[in-house]
Amino acid sequence: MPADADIHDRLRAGEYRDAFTLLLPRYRDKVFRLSYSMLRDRAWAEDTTQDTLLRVWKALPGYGAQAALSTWIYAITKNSCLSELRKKRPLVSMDESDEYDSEVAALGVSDQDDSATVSVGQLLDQLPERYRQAVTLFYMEDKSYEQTAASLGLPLGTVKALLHRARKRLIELTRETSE
Amino acid sequence: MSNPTANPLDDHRLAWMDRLQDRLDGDLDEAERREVDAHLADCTSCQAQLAQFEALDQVLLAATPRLSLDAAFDARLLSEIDAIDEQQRTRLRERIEQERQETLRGLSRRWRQSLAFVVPGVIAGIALALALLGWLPHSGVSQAFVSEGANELGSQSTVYLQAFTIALLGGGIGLTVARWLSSAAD
Repeated sequence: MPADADIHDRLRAGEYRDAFTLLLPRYRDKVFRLSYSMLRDRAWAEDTTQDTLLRVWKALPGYGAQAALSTWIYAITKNSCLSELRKKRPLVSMDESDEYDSEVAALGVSDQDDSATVSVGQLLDQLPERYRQAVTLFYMEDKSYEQTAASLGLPLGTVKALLHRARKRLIELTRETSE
Repeated sequence: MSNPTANPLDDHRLAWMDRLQDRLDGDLDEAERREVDAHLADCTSCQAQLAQFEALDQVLLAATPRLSLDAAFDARLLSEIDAIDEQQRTRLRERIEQERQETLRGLSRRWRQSLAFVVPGVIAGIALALALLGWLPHSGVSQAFVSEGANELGSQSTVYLQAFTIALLGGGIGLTVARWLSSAAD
């Protein structure tokens, strides 16, 4: 049975409320985690999750099943988060993902801590956005490559490569900070 | 071209790093895992590397929040959706009511126009027909028509034929004039 076949049946019948009721418990936490991996603030991620799911609800009648439901929902989530980030930083354009990554990465460098110990959060802050997002999602999703790849909309191999590089970089950063 | 300053130990580490991480993530099949384990048994450098990865893995697991939302979130969201739906339903109801009122207003306007123009139009038409029939006997046209009808239907039918002709002509003229006036009024 294909994924979300029951939801697709409801959508085909025009029973959007029933479809959404099935969809909500299935995707709510995934949307929340993906939002958190991008926004890195629990309250902000929760608000954005609510907005995202409202957008999903409003857009359901227009969902044409060209893409998998999960892909469609994660795309809406990413757009919502980018829009939230852009509200905070109005210069970021949706079409400038590379610039966006580098800008966010540059922003992500935390204030230098005067103490000798550096927290994991501070180390993560020093990773490029893509790495940080992959690492955060991977561990939040119980180390599932498949779920991480699905949420990020990236091929499995790309996610593995991102994670490998991220962890290597984290070890290097740990060494640098302990020297 | 090889780098003369490259450290062979680093090269070795780099070559095995991904596989060590895959082993840690449980992403190797049985044969690959046996191969990595066999290598680990003899390689202190990779043992140290794996220990480092394991430590990082534990730290990252501990540092990553286990995020989930609860039924209260669902209830809040669904009530918001219900509010949106209710607003949409209210807007729809208002639109339907507005359209109904416009239709009723349109019908009412047409009836008023009909009453205002059709009745006087028909009366005027009949009056005109009477006037015409008053003139037609002198012209001989109606006389010919009525006498021909009377020949066919019998002499008693003359009065009925005249009345029928007046009604037909009056109604036709009146309705035509009334329709024209009504459309002109629109």
